[in-house]
Amino acid sequence: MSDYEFEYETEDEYSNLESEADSLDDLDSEDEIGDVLRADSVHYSFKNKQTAGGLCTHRMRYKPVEADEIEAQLKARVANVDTILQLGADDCTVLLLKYGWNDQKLLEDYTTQEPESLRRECGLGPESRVRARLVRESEPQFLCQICCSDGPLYTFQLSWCDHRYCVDCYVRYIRGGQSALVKCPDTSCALYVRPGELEQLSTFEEQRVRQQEEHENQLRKQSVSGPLTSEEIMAKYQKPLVDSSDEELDEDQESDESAEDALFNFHERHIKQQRLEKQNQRNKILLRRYWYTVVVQYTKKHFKTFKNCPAIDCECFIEYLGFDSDVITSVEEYVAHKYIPIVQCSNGHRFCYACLSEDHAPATCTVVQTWIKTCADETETSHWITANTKDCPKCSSPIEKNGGCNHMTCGECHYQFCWICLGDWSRHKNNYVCTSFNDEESKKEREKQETSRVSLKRYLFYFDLFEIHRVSLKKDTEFLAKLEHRVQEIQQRAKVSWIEAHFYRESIDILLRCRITLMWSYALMFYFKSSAEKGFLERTQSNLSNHVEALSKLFEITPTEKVIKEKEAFLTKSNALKSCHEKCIEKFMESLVLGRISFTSELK
Amino acid sequence: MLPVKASDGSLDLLNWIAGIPGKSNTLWDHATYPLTIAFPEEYPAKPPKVKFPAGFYHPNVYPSGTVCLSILNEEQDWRPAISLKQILLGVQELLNTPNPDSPAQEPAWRLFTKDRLAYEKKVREQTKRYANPDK
Repeated sequence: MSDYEFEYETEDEYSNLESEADSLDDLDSEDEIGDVLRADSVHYSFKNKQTAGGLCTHRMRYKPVEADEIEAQLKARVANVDTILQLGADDCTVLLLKYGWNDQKLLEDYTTQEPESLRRECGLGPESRVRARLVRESEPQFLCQICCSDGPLYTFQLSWCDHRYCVDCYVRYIRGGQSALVKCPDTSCALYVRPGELEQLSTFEEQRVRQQEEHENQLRKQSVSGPLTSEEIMAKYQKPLVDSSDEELDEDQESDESAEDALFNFHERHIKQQRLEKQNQRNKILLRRYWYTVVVQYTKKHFKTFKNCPAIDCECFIEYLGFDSDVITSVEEYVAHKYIPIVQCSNGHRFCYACLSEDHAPATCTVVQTWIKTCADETETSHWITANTKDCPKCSSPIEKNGGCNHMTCGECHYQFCWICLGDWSRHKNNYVCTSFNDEESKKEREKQETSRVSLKRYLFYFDLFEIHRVSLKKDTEFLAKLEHRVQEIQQRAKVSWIEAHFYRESIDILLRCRITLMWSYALMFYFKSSAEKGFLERTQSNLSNHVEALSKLFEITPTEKVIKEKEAFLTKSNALKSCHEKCIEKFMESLVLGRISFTSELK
Repeated sequence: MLPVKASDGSLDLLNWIAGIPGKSNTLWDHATYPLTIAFPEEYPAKPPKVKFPAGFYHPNVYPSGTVCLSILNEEQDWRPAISLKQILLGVQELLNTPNPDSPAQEPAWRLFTKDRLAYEKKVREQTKRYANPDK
């Protein structure tokens, strides 16, 4: 330790840091928060405060946020604690991480306990400063204790210990850690790596990678004039072969693109690109990765207020802000009242805040879970059973007749009956011709069988409707994504502004959204007992269905190049659909919340 | 301690075998316990996996043979500066000083906490199985 000196950060740098912290703190002041709340950053799980029928919707307040915004929030909290403790943002970050962001407890402990020992327990050195130049070039006889490489090497160490390791090992170690809190690599050392220290390592590493890339680029440039590598020769000679069949190439590319389109529409592709860029940044820059880990850990700990969007690979979060209500105070209560908290993330994915599945309004979470389970249990099997079997008239176990005569003996209860009339076999004489089909007794048996299958048939009826909409949803998504791509091209060629063509995107959006609503409304209907109310809802449902088909048809019949000219027609149809959809959701909500409808025994 | 030799004579540097001698004047003395050490690609950012033969009798050894030791756990005390020597010494130490607070197998843990004599008998049986050849 004694043979080299540490340079301390100059006062200037320090005051800079502090003024930054101050400005973050300002953000937290009440006026600012008020402004933010007044702005449209607050979203609601439902559009209106009241339904047309006068029912209070008790809508949930939320805010779609991204990791960067949560990061800023957390940094503001660090700065807040720092104004009281005056330890610098680095130590406060580590302390807050150790205390699971419970600032009250931290402040209490810091004032009641001896700061020295508390600091030590939290893996901090005796003073809060981060020393400058933690990355240094080592003397030639240095040996890294992790990888056994010898000097001269670039090494890194923390401010308060003399455990030096080569930069490569340190970086790899920090990358391998799953938590934001990482200790010094030495076994006996309890110090945590603080963000300020990490920053030095991160900056150094970033520069080094950039230099390396530049160096490689230069090498590549130089090698152009030099002898060709085998890869370059391959590239050179394979190219003309492909070029000679220009058309084929174009076709190939097109089919590739359309395959992509089937998966992503324009919007989704844009989101994906942004996400990959961010991930790339995190992989490259240690400090970015650090804060992302902090945010993810924080949201996982505060899972009641933060939910990660369940859409595949989506990194957006929803922050819960409470309810627009005097009665309902928690998500559990909201769901218990049969409301559905549908939220939408910054990337436009709609999902249920309570059960984290995709938008399933108007069906409640319980209905969705029961339905999915029923489908998994019954779909295929029950189809086959209805088509191929009859139930034993005594014990109702399903029986398949795989040949032979009409004289059946049940494998379960050994009851003997006739396959044709389901009557007792004792009254039959001929094994192949049934003579007692019109007997009172056998008629009764058949009726009984009918009713036991009615429930199954009812299920299959709704299941088919559900399936039809699920499949059309899938098909529409694919079809519209392809179409949208082409319209975008036309739009660019015709120099129509993005705003002008936006109606198209919105029409697609509402169409797909209504398909989802229809799909789930059929699942919901299965669990409703027949009543006047149910009939009323069915009419609302079929009204919505008609509007959906009308817009869907418009998409189908409008030639691609005329889409933009037909703006008027699209707007009329999609606005009609939008208001119809709103009404439909409200009607279902009223029936459910006010208990106007009763459920069948299938919903446990 | 040495890397595993493949059939063609080359060395597999990611998989090592080792023998842990029991500490003298303990139940485990006079025997050498075979150990395999599998290094992940990310080593030393991630700890190696240390295993006794499956079914090894010790309260902190899983039925699969994997050793349960805090310094070998990535989420606990693993640090990249831990040397192989430290790992082996740690495992040797663990043999005679099991940690009843983190049991990894039921039979050995139960006897260790409830019936020490029966436990010692079982350990001695195992010692005999891995006994050093007489010189």
